[in-house]
Amino acid sequence: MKISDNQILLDDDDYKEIFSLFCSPTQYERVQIYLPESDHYFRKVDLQEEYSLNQETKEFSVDAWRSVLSFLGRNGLSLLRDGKELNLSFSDE
Amino acid sequence: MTQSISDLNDKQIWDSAHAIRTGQRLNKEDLSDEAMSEIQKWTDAQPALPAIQTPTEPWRNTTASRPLNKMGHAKKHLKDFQKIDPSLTENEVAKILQHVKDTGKPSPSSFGSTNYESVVNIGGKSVNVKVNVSSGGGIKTGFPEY
Repeated sequence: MKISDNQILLDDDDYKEIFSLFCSPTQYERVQIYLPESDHYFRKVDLQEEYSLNQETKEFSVDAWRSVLSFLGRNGLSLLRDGKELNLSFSDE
Repeated sequence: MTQSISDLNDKQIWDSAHAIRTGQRLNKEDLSDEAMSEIQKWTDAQPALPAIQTPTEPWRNTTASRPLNKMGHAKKHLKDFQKIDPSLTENEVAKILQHVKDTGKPSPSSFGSTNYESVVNIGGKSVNVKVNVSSGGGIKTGFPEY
């Protein structure tokens, strides 16, 4: 991930990580995606592979929101509002 | 190579007899017809064997509310279950997850979801299975912890 003044550039590993976080709703699964020996290690994701997902529409939003927050938090970013910083670690609980 | 009964040791005879009495499949290619016949006679002459306690798998009686590929991200864990029992099908894994949701111990998880956890017998092994359920009640994921 490269951050400049007005944009964030992601590489393939970032997309793999975001995808792995997206499809890992539990803490246990999120631990697995960072273990190189696990079948679910995020770098093993094939970005060209199709992924089918059937679940309630709300859950797509929940997974997307959770994965982005988690990705940003794990990469040392936080949210700032009215000068107050919000730590994103809650997204991994 | 086909063996006659004289080639077998006591344990092999006992194992073969036990298999006959408990309805298990014998590898007949390993035994001659004569050996099979002698073992069958010997077996018939023995008192009834006590019933064998086979591990129960109550999840097999569960009806899954939806197929595995419609249980959120759960299908990615099919291979994890098949590492425990390679014969498990998608339908059987869906039954296991449904069973854990129906009978497991609930605990709150993030973003409004709930985790259910239970020890399940799979292929004779006790396995801790965790299922994550959305606030709407749908299974989002489920996996064996090992």
